[in-house]
Amino acid sequence: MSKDKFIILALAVLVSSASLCDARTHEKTWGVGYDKHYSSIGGLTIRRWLGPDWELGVSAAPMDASTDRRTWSWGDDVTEDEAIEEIPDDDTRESGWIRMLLGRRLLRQDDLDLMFDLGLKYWWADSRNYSRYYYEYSERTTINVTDIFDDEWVLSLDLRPSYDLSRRMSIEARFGLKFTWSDERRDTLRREIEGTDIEDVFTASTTEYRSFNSYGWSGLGSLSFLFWF
Amino acid sequence: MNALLYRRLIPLGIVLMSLAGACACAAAEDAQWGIGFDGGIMEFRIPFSGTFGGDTYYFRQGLSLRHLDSAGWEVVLTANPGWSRRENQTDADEIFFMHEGVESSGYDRSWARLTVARHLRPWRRLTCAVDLGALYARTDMESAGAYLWDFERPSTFTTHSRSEAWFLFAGLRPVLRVSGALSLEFGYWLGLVTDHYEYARRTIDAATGEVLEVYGSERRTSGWAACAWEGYSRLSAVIWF
Repeated sequence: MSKDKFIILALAVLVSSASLCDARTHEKTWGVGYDKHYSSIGGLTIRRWLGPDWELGVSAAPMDASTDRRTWSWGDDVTEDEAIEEIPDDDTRESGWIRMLLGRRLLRQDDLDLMFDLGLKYWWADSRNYSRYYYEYSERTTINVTDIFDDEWVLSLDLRPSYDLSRRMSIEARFGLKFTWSDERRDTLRREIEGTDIEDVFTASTTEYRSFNSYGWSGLGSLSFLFWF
Repeated sequence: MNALLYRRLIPLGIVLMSLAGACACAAAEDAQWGIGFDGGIMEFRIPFSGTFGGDTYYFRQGLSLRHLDSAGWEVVLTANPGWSRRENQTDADEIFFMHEGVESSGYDRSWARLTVARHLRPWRRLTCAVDLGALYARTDMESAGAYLWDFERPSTFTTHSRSEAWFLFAGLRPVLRVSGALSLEFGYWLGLVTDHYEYARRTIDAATGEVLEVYGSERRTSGWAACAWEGYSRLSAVIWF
């Protein structure tokens, strides 16, 4: 099962399990929106109120990418059709994130809710970077292939003010403390080709990263809009 | 010991100070408590100093706890705890320059700011606070790893740096009450920055343990600095209850 399908399945399971809970006592029942949070790319959010004071949410987004670059060069003595393909690059990345949220209402004043959240986010990226360098005068070619796997967990304790702009629409921001732990595995093959000679060099690198910080919004773009029905 | 101090005792101290402040102010009637996020990246510039004509200090966003009494006096405690650790292990068939072995790095970086403010008479939902405050920041950074400058003598290195800064400031802070429970604000501050920075580095022969190089530096900076709100991303928001 691909990770994208896993996200969709996880969303479906969460939504169906949340629907078993009684949310008739609160005006807000289901919510959908877009969550920017502290991720570089935002994602779709689904919310469900579980009774008058508890809220469950899940946000997720794919972040896949593919880049294929070709460069040609030619001089006066050749035509464009005869040009040398110089530096082809081919980068692919299969990536995504999913974030779970369990929120408890601390207070409500007028149209403002203040929620206390426990959040858990998982982000991963599986990448391959390919590049080939052709040295015109030495007839030597270098091929670099790097496979990178990153994953990151973020556990956060948030305060989340949510303001009801209307009965069907609210706007919210989030701030708090977050603990991050991530790992990266990077395997690189460098292949030198000169005539019939081929030389391979392998490099393996692992990185562990842990951090603890406060966080919050960084502009209007980090506001989340939610629509309730 | 330093790591223990900054990861455990200072956050605990901030919490205890907050609780003490809360107890001291709780008796006031019609007072409000606020909790919020200081979106302002405090960026102080000391003009006409440093290598490029000015030193800049950044104190990034933090969490705030406030108390505002009915007479218009406000006490704000803002703090930002932070640390990180990074470990890297590299194995290579061929060593090109310096990249094999274990490298580690990390920092403990925290700051706290205490502000006493007097709110001027409000105009509709807008008021202006006159601030007087102090900020203390400390950063400890360390790294260690293997070096291969000289192929004949693989070596290891350790570095450590420490920066301590104080900022005493006064300024103005426009505050907009969006509703009874929510306010937005930003500040303009002017004050005095003092900074003490130390750096030490040791390079050791990996085979014999011989110390190959010891390097250290120290710098003290002080001067007048200004901090101003720049852009909507630096708004601070407070929830009042």
